[in-house]
Amino acid sequence: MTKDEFIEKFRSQFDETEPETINFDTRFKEIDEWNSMMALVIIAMADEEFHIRLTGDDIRSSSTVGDLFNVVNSKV
Amino acid sequence: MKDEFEKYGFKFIRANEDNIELIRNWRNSDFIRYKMINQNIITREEQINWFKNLDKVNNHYYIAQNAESLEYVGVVYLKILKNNIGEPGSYLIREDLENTATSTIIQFAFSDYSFDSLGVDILSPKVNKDNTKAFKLNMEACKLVVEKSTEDIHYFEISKKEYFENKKINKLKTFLTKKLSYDKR
Repeated sequence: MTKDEFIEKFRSQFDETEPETINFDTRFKEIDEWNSMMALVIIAMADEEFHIRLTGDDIRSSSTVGDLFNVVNSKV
Repeated sequence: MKDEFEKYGFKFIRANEDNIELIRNWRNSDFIRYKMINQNIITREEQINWFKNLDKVNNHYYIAQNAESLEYVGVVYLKILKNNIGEPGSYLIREDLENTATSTIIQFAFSDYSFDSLGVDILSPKVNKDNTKAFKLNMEACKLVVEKSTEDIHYFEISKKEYFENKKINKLKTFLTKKLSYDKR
């Protein structure tokens, strides 16, 4: 999994947010569209696309998209 | 109705005389009560009287806990109105659980239970107008009932058929079921 692959998949989970507004420094919980269902969508995305088991704690402890990528990458 | 059930990794325990004090303590915390329409502190006596007089056939309160760690996470409830319409509600007991998957998972579990075991045909959540996160979340699956909504409250509806046929909800519930069967291997 490359950084580009990760951010492309991450961006594609959002319906209303312009993809280019999301980068590795984005604090994803501050995205307007972020909510509890999006948290579950991202956990499912990690499983489906990268076969990685993200947990609620992983999401809770990550602030930026880059943090989340590092967590996912550490589990590859 | 069941005193306990388990779904998607969470266990639900029906409110009873032994655990309503726990619920009262959570409900009185600033984090929760300031989100309620009635923001007053509830006394022990008020809580006991409320529960004693509660119509338990049509009001279903459950405490949700992580089935594995047994950590308490929230309270879910359903008030059954006429024509098998159910008014659901829920709150998380810790601020750090807000906007995490926990909230959605316990709502899925309790919605399944409301339709399958409590016999409601329609769920009708109501949301304070200033709660934009909850508004958007409900807009994902439910219909906004404009004629019923007021200046302060938005009313939504989702039928049993719409809920069980919603592709996004089904995809996420399938993932949760798959995840749990994997965890138990």
